[in-house]
Amino acid sequence: MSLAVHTPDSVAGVLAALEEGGVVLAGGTHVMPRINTGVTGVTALVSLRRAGLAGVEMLDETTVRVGAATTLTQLANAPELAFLRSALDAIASPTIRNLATVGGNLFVPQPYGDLAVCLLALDAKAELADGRTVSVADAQGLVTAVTFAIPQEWRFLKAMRRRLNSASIVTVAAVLETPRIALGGVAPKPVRAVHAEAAYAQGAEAAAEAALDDIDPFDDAYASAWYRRRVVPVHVRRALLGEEA
Amino acid sequence: MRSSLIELTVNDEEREFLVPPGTTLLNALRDQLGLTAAKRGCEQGTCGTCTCLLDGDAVMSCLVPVETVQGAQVTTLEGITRPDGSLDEVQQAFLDGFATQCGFCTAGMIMAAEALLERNPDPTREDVIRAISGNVCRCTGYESIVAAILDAASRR
Repeated sequence: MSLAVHTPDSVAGVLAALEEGGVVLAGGTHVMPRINTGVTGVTALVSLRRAGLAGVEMLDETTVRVGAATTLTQLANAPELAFLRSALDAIASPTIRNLATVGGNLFVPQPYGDLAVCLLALDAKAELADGRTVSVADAQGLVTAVTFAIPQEWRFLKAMRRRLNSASIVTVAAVLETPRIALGGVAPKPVRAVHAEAAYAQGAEAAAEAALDDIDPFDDAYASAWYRRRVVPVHVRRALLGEEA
Repeated sequence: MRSSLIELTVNDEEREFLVPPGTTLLNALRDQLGLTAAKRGCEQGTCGTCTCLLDGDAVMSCLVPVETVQGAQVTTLEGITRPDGSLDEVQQAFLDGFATQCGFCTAGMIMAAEALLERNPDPTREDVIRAISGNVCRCTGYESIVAAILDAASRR
């Protein structure tokens, strides 16, 4: 089957190509593995590479806007975003991060998408090509950028099978001053741990136990749902206390 | 569907060639340009044996439709070898340290190492392990590979 590849040089061009039935191709780290199996039914890819959607800019002293096609490597290299480096370093390998994009991370299935977990904890907004701005949790269609405020007290922890290049068993991202706590690897999508957030006033232990009411874990090759449920409180507590995984 | 005309600078040489629509950078290098150092392994972005430099960054070339990178600079293992045919430091260190075993991962490992040493000429062991964390050696010969990359850094 033949596969058309479009490389429009504007958002309008991307939208026009999508109208004709194309699939968005950002970094390709999730789309291309499916394409390479040859059984997708996809007939056209619409690349964002030339659409001018990459870049990191400060809107004011604390608010940052990141273009959807910014790679994870570019994000990690942004001097203002040093707090995100440990999270980005825990995602896949450098060879993947050189391709994978910020916008794409919002759409990858769990247990991938650790940046999406961070963005949820940051209460990031997604700018959509149709002009709307929504929570990253509600991103759909073509995302053009995400915006968020740089936190004062940031926590990130990811439990994985190997120390590098492994998907999530449990991912915890938190902004303590609010508090906002988001979890990955423990539900079909990244989740805000609203019970844990409410309990955090009583301390990290209380928040860790309460997090069990925020999850809906699954079995996969990395861990069983049983195991994830067992270790969620441990990792939430360690994250909130700033301890290692 | 019509073939596309692709223009790339591959190993410092300007190349123009036709590809069927949807061709990956990996398949273009191997099938159109005859550069077979980059291997077709998993085609899932998991094994790293197709690793090439795209505008200086190490990427999995199986994940890049070549039509999306018109005009780019691509470097493969063939472009690392010096014009007189002698090996560069990383290649020589792999040879001297027997860091090859079956050899299927070697081209990708060396390209990941080249990208690392370009940015970080004096890497720690930890830096090396991170740089090759997307490259799988099914012979499990990682110790000699890490040692060879550190050796290459000291020779450069």
